[in-house]
Amino acid sequence: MRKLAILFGAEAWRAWLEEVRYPLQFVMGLVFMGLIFFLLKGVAQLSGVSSSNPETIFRLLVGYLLGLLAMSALSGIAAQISREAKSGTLENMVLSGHGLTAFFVTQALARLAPILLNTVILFLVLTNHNKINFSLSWEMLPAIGLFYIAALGLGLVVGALALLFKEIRTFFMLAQLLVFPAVIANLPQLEWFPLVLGASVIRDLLQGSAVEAYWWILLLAETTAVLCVGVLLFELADREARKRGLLGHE
Amino acid sequence: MLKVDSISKTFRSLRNVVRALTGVSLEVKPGEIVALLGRNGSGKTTTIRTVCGLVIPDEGSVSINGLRFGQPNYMAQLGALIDTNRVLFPRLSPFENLVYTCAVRGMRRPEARERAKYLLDLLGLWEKRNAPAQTLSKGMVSKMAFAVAIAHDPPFVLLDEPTLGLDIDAAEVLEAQILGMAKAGKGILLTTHQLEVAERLCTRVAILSGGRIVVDKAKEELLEMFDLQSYRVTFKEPVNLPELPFQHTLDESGRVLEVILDHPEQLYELMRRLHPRPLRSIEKREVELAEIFRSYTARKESHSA
Repeated sequence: MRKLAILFGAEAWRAWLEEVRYPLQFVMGLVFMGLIFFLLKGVAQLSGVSSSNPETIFRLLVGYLLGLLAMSALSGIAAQISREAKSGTLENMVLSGHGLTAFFVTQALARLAPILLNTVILFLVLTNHNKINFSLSWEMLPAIGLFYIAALGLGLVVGALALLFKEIRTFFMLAQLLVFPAVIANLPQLEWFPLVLGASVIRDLLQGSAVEAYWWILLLAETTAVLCVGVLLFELADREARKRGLLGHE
Repeated sequence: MLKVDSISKTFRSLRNVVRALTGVSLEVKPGEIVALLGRNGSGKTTTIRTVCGLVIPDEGSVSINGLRFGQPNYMAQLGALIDTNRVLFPRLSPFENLVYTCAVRGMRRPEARERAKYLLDLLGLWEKRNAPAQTLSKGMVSKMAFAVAIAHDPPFVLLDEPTLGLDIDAAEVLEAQILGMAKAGKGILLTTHQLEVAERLCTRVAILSGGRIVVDKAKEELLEMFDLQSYRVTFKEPVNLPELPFQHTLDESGRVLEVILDHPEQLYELMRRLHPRPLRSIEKREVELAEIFRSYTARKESHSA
């Protein structure tokens, strides 16, 4: 635990330095994500969905922001692996003795602050702009936590592929195509999918509805299972990459 | 002690199978600088990467002070420079890169800052401490790679081509540091193609050829052994040489032949083959590590041919 705290401290410091060094990146990211939301809203309007209905806008907005959060976790680890391999720092991570799984999970968590800040700012601006009311409760914290951890579990699976196959951009695109609509549309057929279930719980909480214990238990169980599978696959891929001598290759 | 014990490694892909290492064994004791020499593709980097845990061997094991890879504190015993060109986080300055490296290894922030300052001073990089990493010259990046490798002051250090691409001043700074570290009791395993660097630095030489260690001896012992087998034969007039089954070179004048025998008794065979060419003199000569290297790698290649 002490080792993880050391690692988290160092990674949080690095993430902070990189963020403050490129502030425009943060601002432009915010503007870009805001514009994409209006684009989505326009597409929804063209396809006949009434965009004046606050309920529809609320679902779209929450789904969109949760989709962004999920994608940051889903692709973050793999993108970071490619970046570290390119800069040659992946070897140094191995040499630090922390293990790659601990490294990349800690790194993702340490980089969460600016992503969350982005999401909250966008949420507040867009709900205000669209005159949407929402309610906040402490239950939101575990709900968002479980949603993010499930996304992180899936991120480890994608990261495992990146360790072994290096170039997986098409897979990223496919994941985006699948995850975004699933989280935004909240289809009942996909309710079992951890990210959809998490998004549904968060939506209910934001609308002031109570969430039954059954859904919490299911969400917790699913999140734990996804994280365990993610960690297992990532560890196996790490071992396989070392066996094949691929670690650190671009 | 760093101990590499009979490691073998074969890389398999869909298209080919490459036997990279076969039963490689090595030892590096505290205070020793071992030069691991070999031609391109001989297995030097694979050996280094295996010791670092970047490659898992098919057979054999590596241990440092009795700890095997995967055991807690194995990595704390080890520092490694694997790629002198790619080692820094591009968005951080050299100072931040080093503080981060020390912090990840468990140093507290003030201690990490002190260590970073010390290393930058030591390698003449303090002036560049706040420059973006992307703006550093190749030589500076190489020095930084060295600093990152020794940031946590490990007892054993692996250096893969540490002076590659460095100008003479930068190489001298690095060589002085390597010698200083060995004097302070650290064990160093280095690979290089610059044999004069190996000759200046190392106390022990291991030569890899075709993934096997073909010689592993103290440098002085090796040089002494070859001194007994190295001769300079001077002829009275230019000669055409017969076929000689030893490593040899005839100078441009065609009068001076330098030869390295496999063992001193082959001198009789050499004389027999040179007869009746007119000899002026025959003398023993001192050899350089480069010649020994060529002798071993050529011998291995001719055996495998």
